[in-house]
Amino acid sequence: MTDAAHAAHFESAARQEHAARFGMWVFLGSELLLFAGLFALYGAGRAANPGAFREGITHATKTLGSINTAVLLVSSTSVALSVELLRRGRQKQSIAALCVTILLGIVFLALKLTEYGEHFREGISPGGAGYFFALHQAPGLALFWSLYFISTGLHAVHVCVGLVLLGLTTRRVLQGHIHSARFYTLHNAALYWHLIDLVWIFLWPLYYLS
Amino acid sequence: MTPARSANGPSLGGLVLTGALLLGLAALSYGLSFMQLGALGLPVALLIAACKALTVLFVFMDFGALSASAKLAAAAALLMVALLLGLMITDVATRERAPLPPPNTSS
Repeated sequence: MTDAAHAAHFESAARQEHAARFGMWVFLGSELLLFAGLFALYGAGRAANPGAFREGITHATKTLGSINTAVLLVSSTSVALSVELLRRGRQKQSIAALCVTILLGIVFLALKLTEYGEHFREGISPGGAGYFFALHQAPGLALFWSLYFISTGLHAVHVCVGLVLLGLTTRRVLQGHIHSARFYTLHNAALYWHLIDLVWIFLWPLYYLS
Repeated sequence: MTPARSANGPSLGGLVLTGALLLGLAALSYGLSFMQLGALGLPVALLIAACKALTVLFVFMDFGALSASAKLAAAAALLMVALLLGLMITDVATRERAPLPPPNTSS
């Protein structure tokens, strides 16, 4: 298959594009279900241990988490801009917007690692391990921190995958394989990045704010 | 907020404004987290999060312009999430505490 044509099993390029977009939304739906399970666990845990969850939030790194929220929101904007710029044939500006998105994703991960480092120094580890839990023995506190590490860790894995995806897509835009007449691959990569943003939009208030 | 559209998609200025709106909503959440809202704190924070999510979904992800089949896939996923969360809430709300076992009187 060449990039200008469609795959042999599709009757037209338009049909292939439709299948790619549809497939992406089915995939995003499955990802949503994956995270919904963790949100359900959080809800059940918080209903059973409201005090412990509120205490857990007071030990969260609110400033770093909030900066990360702004970083992801700006990155979501820049990836949406990259799609729109490429649609208008402004390839160089689209690549620049993609590079900004990748840079912001790396900043997000760096801040996330800094957060984890602070928690480990405080004696907070997944599974209720660490001296923090000897000092703070509220039932449910270990559950809060386990859910925090699982949810934010799984999210961080998705950020890593998103960065690889955006990196590969940027290369294909540079090579001219993705262009104004055929940009659904970039659009799909952007959709994945927006999903990462959507998940964080809900993780942030639950684990850092209230 | 719906940015002005060109023939094919949202305007660049509209996307930038949407980004600014999202940052504004995030700043609102951050500011409210320092106020003593009591039991209202979490619902308010989640309401603002839902506003941000809908903005991302409809402006950045262009949900409104999806094909009917893709919308069906998204609706099926949302239905499954609603079922999962609904049944979880029902379980938590109606669960009774297990009775304590009788004290062991044999010695």
